[in-house]
Amino acid sequence: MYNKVFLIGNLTRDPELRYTSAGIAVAHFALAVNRISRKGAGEGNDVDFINIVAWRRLAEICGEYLKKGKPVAIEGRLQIRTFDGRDGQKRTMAEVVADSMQMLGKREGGTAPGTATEAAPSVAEDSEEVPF
Amino acid sequence: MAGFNRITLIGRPMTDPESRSMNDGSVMSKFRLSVSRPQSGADLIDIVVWGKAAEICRDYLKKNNLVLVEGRIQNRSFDDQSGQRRWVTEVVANAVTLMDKATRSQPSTAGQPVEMAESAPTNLSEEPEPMSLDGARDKAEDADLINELPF
Repeated sequence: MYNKVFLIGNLTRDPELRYTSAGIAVAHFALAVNRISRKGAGEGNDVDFINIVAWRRLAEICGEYLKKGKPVAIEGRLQIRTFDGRDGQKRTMAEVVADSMQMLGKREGGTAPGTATEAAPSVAEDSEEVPF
Repeated sequence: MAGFNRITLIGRPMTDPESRSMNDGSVMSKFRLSVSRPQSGADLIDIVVWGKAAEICRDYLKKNNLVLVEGRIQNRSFDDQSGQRRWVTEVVANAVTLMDKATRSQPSTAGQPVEMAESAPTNLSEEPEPMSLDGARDKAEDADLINELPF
């Protein structure tokens, strides 16, 4: 059915890019998403750390361009995965499977893509080149 | 940087919601939502609701009702019986919308035909196996759609 997530946050670590045995790229990272609280920042637990997973071309783009601390917008769906923990007990883990990624903040070089989606990768956003 | 954290889900509760009244009179309601994946299978997502929306869940939401949930993703930690720290991810809903046709036990919101109550998909298979659930659900929804056609 319908399952859509929109997140803006900062990377807590560099993305970890791996390839499955079938050669499919998969990238794992996590976002620190600040909560908007009326009390103001700095009171109690006001950050959510949300695991993100990206596949294929999007995974490669994330692995190449995203760095710890960078602000990023992610669009995807929330997935709950079950696995066996070290003590043999069933554990569940929630992660957002990214459909598209948008880098926020300043660009360092001129080549980084602004947006990327799994379907249409590396759509460069050259706003500086607009002639008006 | 201010974060942005929004999630929208449509699914069906696995059980009736579990509701509690707090000391200050506010209501908290919890349930696990089954959201089927595009291909096969389903994600079972814990939902927490507070306030007025929780009262609606407590009073009207039942197992297997089709429901739209809007909110944010939250991580929370607690210590289990063995003293180990556990992390849970849940969706804190700020809006819950019932999407089934109105029945007698539900509020008849504007524009919803009440006479359709008997055709609402209430007798879904209780097996947790998602494929059979999907099949039953699709058939039920198709039937609803056909009944709505004006010709």
